Amino acid sequence: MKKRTLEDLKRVLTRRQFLQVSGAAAGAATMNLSFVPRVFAGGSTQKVLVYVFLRGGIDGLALLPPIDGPDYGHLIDARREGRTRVDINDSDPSRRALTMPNGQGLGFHPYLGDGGLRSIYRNGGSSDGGMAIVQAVGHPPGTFTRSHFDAQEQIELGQPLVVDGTGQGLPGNGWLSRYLMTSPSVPAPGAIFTAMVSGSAPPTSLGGWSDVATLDSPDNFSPNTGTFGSTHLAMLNSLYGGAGELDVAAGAALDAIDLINSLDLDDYSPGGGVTYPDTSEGNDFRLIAQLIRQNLGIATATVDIGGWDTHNNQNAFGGPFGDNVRDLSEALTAFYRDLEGAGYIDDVAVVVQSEFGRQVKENASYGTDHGLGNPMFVLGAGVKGRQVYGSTLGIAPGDRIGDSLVPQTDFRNVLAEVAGGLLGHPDVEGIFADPDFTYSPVGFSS
Amino acid sequence: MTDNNLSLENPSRRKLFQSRTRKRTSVRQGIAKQGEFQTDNLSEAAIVPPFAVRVLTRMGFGLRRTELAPQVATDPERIFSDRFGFGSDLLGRDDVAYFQSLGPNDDLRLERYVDEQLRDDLPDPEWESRKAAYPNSFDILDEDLATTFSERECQGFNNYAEPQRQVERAAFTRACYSRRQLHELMVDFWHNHFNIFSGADEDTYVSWADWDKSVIRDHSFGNFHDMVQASAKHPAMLQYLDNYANEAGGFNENYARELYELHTLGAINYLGNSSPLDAPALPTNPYAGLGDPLLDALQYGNPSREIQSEYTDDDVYEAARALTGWRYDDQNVDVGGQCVDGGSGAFQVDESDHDGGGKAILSKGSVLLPSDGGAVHDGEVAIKLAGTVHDGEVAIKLAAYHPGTARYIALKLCQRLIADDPPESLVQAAADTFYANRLHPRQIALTLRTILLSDEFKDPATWGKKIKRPFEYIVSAMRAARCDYTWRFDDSDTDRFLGQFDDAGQRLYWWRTPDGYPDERAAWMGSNTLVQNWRIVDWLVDENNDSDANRVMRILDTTLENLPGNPTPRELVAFWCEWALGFTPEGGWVGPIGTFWGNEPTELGKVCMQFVTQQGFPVGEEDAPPFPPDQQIPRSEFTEDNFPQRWHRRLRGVVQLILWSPNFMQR
Repeated sequence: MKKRTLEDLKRVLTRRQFLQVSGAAAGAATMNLSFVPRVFAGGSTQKVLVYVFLRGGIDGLALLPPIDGPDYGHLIDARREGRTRVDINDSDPSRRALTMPNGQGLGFHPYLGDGGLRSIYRNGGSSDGGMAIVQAVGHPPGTFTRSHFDAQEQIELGQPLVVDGTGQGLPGNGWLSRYLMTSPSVPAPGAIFTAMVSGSAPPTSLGGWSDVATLDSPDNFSPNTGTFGSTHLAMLNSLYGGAGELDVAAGAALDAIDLINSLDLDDYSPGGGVTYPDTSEGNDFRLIAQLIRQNLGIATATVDIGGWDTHNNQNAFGGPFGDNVRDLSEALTAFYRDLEGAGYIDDVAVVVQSEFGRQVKENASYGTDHGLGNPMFVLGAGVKGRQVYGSTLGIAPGDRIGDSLVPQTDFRNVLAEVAGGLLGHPDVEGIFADPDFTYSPVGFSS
Repeated sequence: MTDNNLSLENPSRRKLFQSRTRKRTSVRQGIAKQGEFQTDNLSEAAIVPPFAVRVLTRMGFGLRRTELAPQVATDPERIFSDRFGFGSDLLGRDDVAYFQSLGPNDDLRLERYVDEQLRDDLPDPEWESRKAAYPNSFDILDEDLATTFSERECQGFNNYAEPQRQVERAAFTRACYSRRQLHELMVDFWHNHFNIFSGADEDTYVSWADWDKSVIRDHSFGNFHDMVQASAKHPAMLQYLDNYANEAGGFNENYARELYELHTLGAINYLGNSSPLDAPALPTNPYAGLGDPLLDALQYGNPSREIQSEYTDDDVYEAARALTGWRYDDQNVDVGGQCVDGGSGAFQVDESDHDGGGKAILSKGSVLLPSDGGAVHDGEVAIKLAGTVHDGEVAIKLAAYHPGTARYIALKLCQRLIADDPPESLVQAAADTFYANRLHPRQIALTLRTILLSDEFKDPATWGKKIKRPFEYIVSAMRAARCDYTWRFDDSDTDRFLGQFDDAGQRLYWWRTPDGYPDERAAWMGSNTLVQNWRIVDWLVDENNDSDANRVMRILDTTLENLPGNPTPRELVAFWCEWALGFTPEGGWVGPIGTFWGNEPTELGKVCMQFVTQQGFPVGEEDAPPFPPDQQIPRSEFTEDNFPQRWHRRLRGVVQLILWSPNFMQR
């Protein structure tokens, strides 16, 4: 790991610019209690980037297996039926892979069907909106790593590290922090929070950005509910009135308390008539949707989903892998349909990634070990869906590196296109500033 | 919520929220856009505490007080003998006074304190008596693994989970009451370093007491290599990282990878997907001349052999091959899948699953670990007859004895004890001590000594750059506010406490991935963590509205015992700030009689005085009228808690504010 170099991305703002206290945010709308107007002066709307990280290295070859061509045969050779192999010709029909239009030879894990992510991808035959897939994404050559720690850190800070020690060092802040710092529409006038985390701790991708509401169990969010509760809270506010790092963090916590107390999160009607599954993923996405729809000025939301490091008894159709795929599909689909039904989906881009894929060949414990290239999903915000983007070398034995699919698309290109192409950020090369990186869009934005 | 009538439709509630938060929100967003803070202090209201308090906070779970020691002038001429003599009975009663009694100056006091804390033979009467008072809660802790494993495996969740739950309760009790504070801090450190999600499997649950004792506790101050070997052979680790399923012909890399990446060399020494042939070599062979007989019997002991400075994926794979065939005596099942006997959990090997081929680990591609039956000279023949065990042991030794490991462990220890970004000079010194003592039975103790007696540790400029994680925060709050409670079974307070503690995000032994709970402050400053921390302190302080005898923290007793007559609000605040924080700054926490609350000399003083006198709030609280800061409070009011003043609650509220303050959160 290389020494950190602090990227100097300070933007010097005038006092007027960052003290945009409009005070007029109250608004009298009865149904929609807008804190912040959804449409800014000038006609632009609040854009939201939702970053979903699948921790552990999801097995892309079981999530989106090859279903025809030579790669299909290579898959059959490498994996055991019913264990880690998802086969379109499986002897058990309930385990068969599902077809994918414009899939470049890939199909869907069956648990992505049944009205799940597959139907968002297919989007009733339209390529406007819905979901796009980029295949064989990962670190660029010279930076390959199979360490969870290194891969996650480099992805979240937005800088792959060259293994021989040359090249750009790690930035001191997360790529989402730089996205927010350099976005002219952040903070929106009167924004309450510009970023939220649906989980117990903020991720590295938001490292260095202090305006974050981290919410895990919003029903238990007040520190003193007894006598003297209000004056107590007021005193806590005074104790942390300074501008140090802990002061600001405590201030964010106190604002989050006030926010949760001001909202009635239990009384929520998701758009599109959907019901969120009662899983931790379902609850995480539901909270994000609720807060986006409260128009608080949130420009970024993150959620982590773990359990993908399936070295042992992966079990493509049960626990852990199969169950996790189903939970992911149900929760993310509900999230999408909720925002679609409520009229928000054109301004919300969701990008889903994992730190790396897994090896082609199954190991002796019916699991898989760390690989390299992997698919990424992009949903919403007018993406040109219903298409698999990106090239691949395929998984013929001679085309693998360390028994792994070789990445052909640098992950930064996907993230940058989401930020710039879909959400209108004006300077994505600034977010991923690296002399060895030139932004080259994959093509899923119009 | 104090007022449930106001729904979110109410414009005035929304307005109250907006007006209060608007300025702070804007400042925060401004700081976020600028990308840096204007001040180095984590919090502007915090004061750097004196030396004794800094030491006690960093070297354990903070200062503990059950009584205030009489003020005794220290005699600079006094010579102290090397026994638990003068002042020793103050430890646990007034830790600050105890520390001060250890010598005529801070350097000597620190040295004596460190050396005492590093002893293995410190008597621990309070922990022992609490343990003895609740035998049903702690009896498994001293049981041998074979007994626990065979009796509880296959006996249902309540049976096999009990060892883990006993350890959880014991961990809190020990952290709170043990005089071996540094040991408890290090036990927590090593649990995180060799992290296992204790709920992963029946076998991790059932063997947890033995994991805690024979792997972690027995080695916390001891030899690092020995600890790694013990961890590798324990059923909990074999299960959690799949090494029990690692077999020849399709090895499972999970354990070997984390052994190298998390337990020993660390990701800082990982060269990724490069070839070992391209890896740079160390200037000298670190294993030659070390004196390890197994490495000496192999070519690893040959000084002319080149050893890599960093490890690659290939080294991980070779280590995985070396560790094939390692198993433990698990339950036996019949053909129907029914459990026949529980097994003993003992380490054993399955030769038929072992990959007996030659292996090249950290040796730039040279096969220095020969294949079974392919021995080259006499020493190697003897070793290779026991190939399965020794191959794996060699893979571990190569990692544990590597200089990169010394650096990685030193870095983590400095991060735990001092700051997230510790001074390089100290990391180097600690690594040097660690490396020089690779075979020493007290290697870790010696390394700790280097760190704790360093100038960097003593320097007040390094203070306050970390914040307490929930475990440290909650336990230190209980120590500071005079807890008198043993976490145990069949007690609703314990069960509720543990449920709440889970919400703070640091439930013990419950982190699912092998990297353990993070140690940088950014991970613990999110709104969820802070709010849950504050909530737990609130619960602890308020728990039970009856007499102090039933409460978890003896706030009332402490107040009445130490403040005679009818104290004033000012006296209350001054007393509790000194009691809980361990010091009073020059000029006091609060000003002299007559000071207006807005003019108190410290932020904490202001806030406490404003609260306790209920002055200056636009909307009063439950009709509690303001009370003059220097008027005496009738003593009985603290117990009776009468409306409208409610002095018991106000008193608790003051203590809570102190425990919530940045002074208490930083370390």
